[in-house]
Amino acid sequence: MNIRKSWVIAIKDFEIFKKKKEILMSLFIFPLIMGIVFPLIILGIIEDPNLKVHELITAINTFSLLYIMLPGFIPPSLASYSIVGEKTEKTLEPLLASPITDDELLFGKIIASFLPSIFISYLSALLFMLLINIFTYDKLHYFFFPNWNMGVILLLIIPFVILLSVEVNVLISSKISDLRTASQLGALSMTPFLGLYFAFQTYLIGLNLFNLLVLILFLVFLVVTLFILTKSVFNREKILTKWD
Amino acid sequence: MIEVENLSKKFDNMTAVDNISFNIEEGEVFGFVGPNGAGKTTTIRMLTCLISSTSGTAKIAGYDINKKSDTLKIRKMIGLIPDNVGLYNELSAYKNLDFCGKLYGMENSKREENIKYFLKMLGIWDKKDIIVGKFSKGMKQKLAIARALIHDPEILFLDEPTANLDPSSSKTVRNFLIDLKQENKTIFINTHNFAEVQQICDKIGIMNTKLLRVSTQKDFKESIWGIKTIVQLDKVTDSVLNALNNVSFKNMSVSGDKLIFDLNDPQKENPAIINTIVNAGGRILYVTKLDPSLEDTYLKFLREEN
Ligand SMILES: Nc1ncnc2c1ncn2[C@@H]1O[C@H](COP(=O)(O)OP(=O)(O)OP(=O)(O)O)[C@@H](O)[C@H]1O
Ligand SMILES: [Mg+2]
Repeated sequence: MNIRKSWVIAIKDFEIFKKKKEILMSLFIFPLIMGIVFPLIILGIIEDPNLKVHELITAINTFSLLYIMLPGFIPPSLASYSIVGEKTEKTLEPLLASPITDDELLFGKIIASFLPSIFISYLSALLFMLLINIFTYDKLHYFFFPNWNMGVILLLIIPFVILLSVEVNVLISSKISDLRTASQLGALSMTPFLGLYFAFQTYLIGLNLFNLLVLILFLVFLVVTLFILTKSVFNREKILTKWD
Repeated sequence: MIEVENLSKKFDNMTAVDNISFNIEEGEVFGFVGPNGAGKTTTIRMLTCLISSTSGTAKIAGYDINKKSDTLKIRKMIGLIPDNVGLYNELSAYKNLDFCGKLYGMENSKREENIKYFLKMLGIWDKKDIIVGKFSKGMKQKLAIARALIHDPEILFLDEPTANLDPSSSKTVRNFLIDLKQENKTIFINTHNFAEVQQICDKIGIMNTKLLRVSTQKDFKESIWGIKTIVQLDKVTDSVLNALNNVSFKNMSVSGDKLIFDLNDPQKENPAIINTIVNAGGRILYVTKLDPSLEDTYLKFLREEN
């Protein structure tokens, strides 16, 4: 496998994303909500003079925990465009006629959705942490971020959640030929993370080291299984002929 | 260069290509014609390793399309213009070609050189930075040709390359194909355009799920129409007819002031015919060979097949 060819494909997709207004809009909604609206809500809460410090911290943690789930909603629009787009624009045939292997193509498509998603997630998180620090310093007298919880979410959970979402969406998009259905199904496939989020939220699962390890192992298992599944479905003849 | 042996393709229970066999030599231009849904595109897709065959095999430059290890080698040496141009509308003409060149692993300098060469050759160099979405159909078609050639392929597969083109653009494309033929490229063209086939193809294949015929244009025409000489006279007189009957040119017909001869060996028979006519006092205005268009030949052939 020649990674450079996967890169060539991913970079081509980035350039197309840049020119697609719908995709850019869907990408910028995330930093807007997660990075700016959430801290503004916290700012609103702080105005209340009766607010206790532990209540404030719970509120911030609630929003932090959303970072377990929300990044999974970024890849659907990217992945569905990057794969279903090649089908609907009929660009797949020359692409498949060139000397790239199915694996190189698959990997290129995964990178194409993964990198922008992770970039947008981190950008949102950075904004979120920065604004929260600014808004809460007067009340807490220390900078709330960075902290251990958020570090784990950012570095260990988000990459897996995004990877998982990318894989699910590549899988769906290889099977489905219309863009809207593909991205809707993709978003739907993220609902298990909603469950995970509420589990944390209601303290069913405390965020201790053991639970975290189990969670990560589980995510790794899912990522690997899905990769194998995607690879078996991602077959050039099937992708090419199932739509015309 | 291309050897096809008993190749078939079924989609579920529908046979799209039924047991076809033919060979194309290096440097030959092969025109693949047939009605809509005849299996032409399906054949190109099998030969370019885009879809698998149901049975049978084909070798491209000695490599087997059914062998997984050979398919990459085949893809490296072929260029494809699919029936849809398949360009990225959001990218510029230059970026489209650049992307393709990179997929073929071309060195930077060679890639730049080829992009420039082909865009100039096809007259779209000054539009290189415009996004393809703004191109006309003809310009897109030209760009698709440039893309198929960017990596210097030895074999070209073209699926209806001049469909949608205005006469002057199709002429540009046709002349370009003639140039490529001079470079000894092997070219496989699917087309409905018989003027094109007539002008550039060495050999034609007629497809209708089964391969009905493969031959040179000349042999194909002669097998359908025979070899005919037309002699246009000032006037067809009895003495001319009598003289010809005496020499027993059996397959002769009269049509106005024209005599039409069905011949086996024109080299020998034509001079004899002309001598006979002249000696009988006939005044010859023209002598021509009956040369129906390829299109008419094809239509007659299909009628006879049915
Ligand atoms: N992916 C597919 N799935 C099912 N059937 C298909 C598929 N692709 C082609 N066919 C069928 O195979 C037959 C041959 O189609 P093909 O596209 O090869 O014809 P063609 O000779 O290229 O026609 P045209 O001149 O219209 O381009 C048609 O009946 C078509 O419906
Ligand atoms: Mg066709």
